[in-house]
Amino acid sequence: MSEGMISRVATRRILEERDDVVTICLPLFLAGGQEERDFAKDNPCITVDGCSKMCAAKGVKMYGKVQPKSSIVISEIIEGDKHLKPKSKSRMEPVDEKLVNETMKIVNKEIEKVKEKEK
Amino acid sequence: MSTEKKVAVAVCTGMDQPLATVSRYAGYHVLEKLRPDKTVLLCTPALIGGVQEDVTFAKENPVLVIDGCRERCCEKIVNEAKGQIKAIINVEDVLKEHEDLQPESRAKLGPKGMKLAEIVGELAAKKVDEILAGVKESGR
Repeated sequence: MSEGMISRVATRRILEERDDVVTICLPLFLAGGQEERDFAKDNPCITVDGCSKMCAAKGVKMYGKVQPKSSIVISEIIEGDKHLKPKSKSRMEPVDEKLVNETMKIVNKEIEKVKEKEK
Repeated sequence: MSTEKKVAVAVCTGMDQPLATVSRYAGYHVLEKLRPDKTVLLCTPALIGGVQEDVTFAKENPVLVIDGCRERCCEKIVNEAKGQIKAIINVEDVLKEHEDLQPESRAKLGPKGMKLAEIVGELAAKKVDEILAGVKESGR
């Protein structure tokens, strides 16, 4: 789904900009990757889901017994800020940049909040 | 209403490896360009999240898995949801046969990585045809 693409692009850009965050491989985590699951248990976790099904958040709770410190949902950002829903699930259009930037702003804010609480 | 079966294509949703990106682009190549009327994208995280609509779809339709790496997470997840896997492609295997087509990065495949994705997509399209031919055959 196209919101999934926004989630991946925004998250990837944050990973490239910051050196205090990492990504866990969600399919590996869900498929039983112990290293990924242990990492999520030992470190604060933020989920960035594409849609209201919130599979990433559910997955880390169900399979890793981890309560995400924050759960962000792209479809809620689209609704809340009246962004256009991305048309393509495979290709970023110039119009999608605004939504990616907004998502990055929200995720970065949540990272700072989590870091503050973990001090 | 058409009751014709479609092939559910499950691609790697991982973010930390270029081969995962190749898997997704290969999937989109089949879904959007090569076999748009015969395929549907399966949301693998939804399978494990227990989203009924997605689980039912994977159970009732033949599934083609395009995994990125040796971990074979997509295959494991579809099996866990009791989906009907009819064919599996692993991007790592295809890369072995085309060693010169190394993708640049997870964010930007580059011309070589895109070419690899197209090759995987073409293989996937062949698998889709074989799967649907088999479905017709068994339905006779």
